[in-house]
Amino acid sequence: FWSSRCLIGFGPGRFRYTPPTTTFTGITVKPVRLVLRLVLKSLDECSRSAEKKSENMARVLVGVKRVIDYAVKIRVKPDRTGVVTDGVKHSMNPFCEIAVEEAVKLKEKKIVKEVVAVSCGPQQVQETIRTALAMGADRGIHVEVSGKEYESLGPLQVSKIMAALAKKEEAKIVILGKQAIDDDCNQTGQMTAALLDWPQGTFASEVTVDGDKLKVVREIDGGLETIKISLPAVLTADLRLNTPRYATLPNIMKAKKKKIANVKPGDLGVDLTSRVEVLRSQQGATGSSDAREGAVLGRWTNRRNGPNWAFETVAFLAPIPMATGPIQNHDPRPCCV
Amino acid sequence: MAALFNVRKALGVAVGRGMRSVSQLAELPEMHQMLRQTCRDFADRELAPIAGRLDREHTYPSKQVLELGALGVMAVEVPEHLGGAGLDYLAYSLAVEELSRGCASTGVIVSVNNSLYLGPVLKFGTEEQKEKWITPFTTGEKVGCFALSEPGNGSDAGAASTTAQQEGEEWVLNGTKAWITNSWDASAAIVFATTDKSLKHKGISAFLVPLPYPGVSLGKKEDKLGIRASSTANLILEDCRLPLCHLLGQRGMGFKIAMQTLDSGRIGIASQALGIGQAALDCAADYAHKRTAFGAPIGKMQAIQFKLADMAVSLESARLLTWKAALLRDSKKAFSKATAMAKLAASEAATFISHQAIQVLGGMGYVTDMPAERHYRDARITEIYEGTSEIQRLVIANLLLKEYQP
Repeated sequence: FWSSRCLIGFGPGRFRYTPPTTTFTGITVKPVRLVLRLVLKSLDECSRSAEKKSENMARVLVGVKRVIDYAVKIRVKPDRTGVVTDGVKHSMNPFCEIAVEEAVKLKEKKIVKEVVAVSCGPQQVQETIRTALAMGADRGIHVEVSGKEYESLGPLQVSKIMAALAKKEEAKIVILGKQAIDDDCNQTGQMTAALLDWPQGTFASEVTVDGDKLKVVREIDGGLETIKISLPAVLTADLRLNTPRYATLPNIMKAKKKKIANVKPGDLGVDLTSRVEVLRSQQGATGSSDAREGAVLGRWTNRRNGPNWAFETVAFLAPIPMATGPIQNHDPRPCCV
Repeated sequence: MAALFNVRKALGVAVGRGMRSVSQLAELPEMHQMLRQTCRDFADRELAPIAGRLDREHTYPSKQVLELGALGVMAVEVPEHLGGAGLDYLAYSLAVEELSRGCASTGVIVSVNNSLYLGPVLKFGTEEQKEKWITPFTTGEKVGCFALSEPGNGSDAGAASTTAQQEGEEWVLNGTKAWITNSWDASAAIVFATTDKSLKHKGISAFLVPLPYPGVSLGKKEDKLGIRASSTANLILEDCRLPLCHLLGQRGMGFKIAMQTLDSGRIGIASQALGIGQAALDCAADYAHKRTAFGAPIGKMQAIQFKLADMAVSLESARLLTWKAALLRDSKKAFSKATAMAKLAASEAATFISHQAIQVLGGMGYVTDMPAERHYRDARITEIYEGTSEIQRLVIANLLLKEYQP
């Protein structure tokens, strides 16, 4: 039905099409032509939106989390309810940077058309979204969560939000970092895939498109596993997937013009109540944690100076270059003006 | 709601460029924070690890300069249609500071290209000159340099002895220029020569000289105390023939071009000094936590604490002076006194901080294993080039007394 209309509607001749000149007295041809022009224009728009919803429009949703910067020394709050976050330098989770870089690379290879960066949290997460925009994302979505709900926000709630957004934005691929460096949960990607009932390629160290499927090389305890998953799918980025680009000045300038939409979790129909209650936070035993085999490695091993309650170490078989640098790699200032 | 948003947006636009005031120095705008973070990450990851080697081997960081060109930092103020980033001087100052914190030589390479080469061409060049002499120098592939000093006169810039005679459709330049930063790696130079010695400083003109060029040769690379990765050498002009279109600005305008360029260049050098000072302070403060003596970390001792406090105060006050100078320049207000104060404060802060940093580090500060000795050597030149501290004092005093003129 639409296509037959479009045949009339498209092409250079459309405005030259004149209706049959059976006009009533008092109505000239000109307003009829105008009306027809408007009708054809709306048909144009209808078909264009139909095109948007078509299968060829691949959209990638990338989740980015605002976390305490990796170089900051973490301090537990005196009342032991958590860690000090006020006035402390925050930045994008390093694995999320890798996820954004992968999404932008997919866009540059013309596998996807649009990269949407999503973050959940208070007003400050807009900086993180803007960093993702400066790296090449096209637009951002800020899911407003603040106060107590933000403190208790965990992988379950975020995965519900991501699943709802993936459906709403009709994303083909959802890329997340494999874990956040503040809670080291490594759950959000997997839960999102389960909620959406999509296949998942977690701990991805290489992603290639194979027809209408994705070939994912995963880093697992035993080595490397290659799987083929069909689209739509959820991916989580591991350390060696890529090297995130620097946000260049021209891109930082362009990012200012890109849009960030504000969404409330209620609008997405997501219930944020937490099933987990933090009873107590305390400093770990600060022995010399030279645990170089760790899930978070490379340039983030500065955490050897911090509390080590965060995670149990995971051994990798692949040799990993260590950042054993002189003092200048470490930024001792808690936050920068 | 939409109306409020528009007002905020309008305010943001008005506040964004040119109308920023000192009250906004408390927190930088988001874009500047992002730029600062990018440059800091780049300096930490790409420059700091190789800075020691670059210094020892006197190597020009060509790969890093190309990457900086891709970042957009080699031409911060140049408008986008000419290939630059189209940002303001505050952004440039932050970029140079963060890069200098990683490697001071790279900082000066960026600063000379931006302020001393691209600055005057942007301000005084014709449209053809801008396209020819600016666009290729924005990507990091080519850098420019600034040739004002001579063996016989540095501070006394008005007594230039390099001559330029017009012979038909050509300018013929003869003379020697000294202490030219970037000379061995540059693809163009702005050379100041006198077209009429009787007019003294009003007879100096500025010329655009491509490098290499017949009639232009480079002296030996100076073996300097610091900033060794950037080349410094003499530029010798022997019967160097330039087409007439290579004149920058008007005949006799050279001194004015030089002085205005150096005014802005001072912000770049002040930023470089801030970067060096910050690196030295970071080194010292970190060491104060870790080194123990007399049963406690030395950071607990008053002698060290007083030193660190003095270092921090001198750095922060120099930083605010530099930001103020940059903001005044962006707002197109009179900024000469501010830049002179900024350069004076920052360079003296850098030498003071790096000197005290070596003291805090003790024996470790004297060896090449720690970067403190390199910061000490790098900081020293900031009090000399682009206007010695004595010249800055003269400039400040002159402008200050003018304000009180009865």
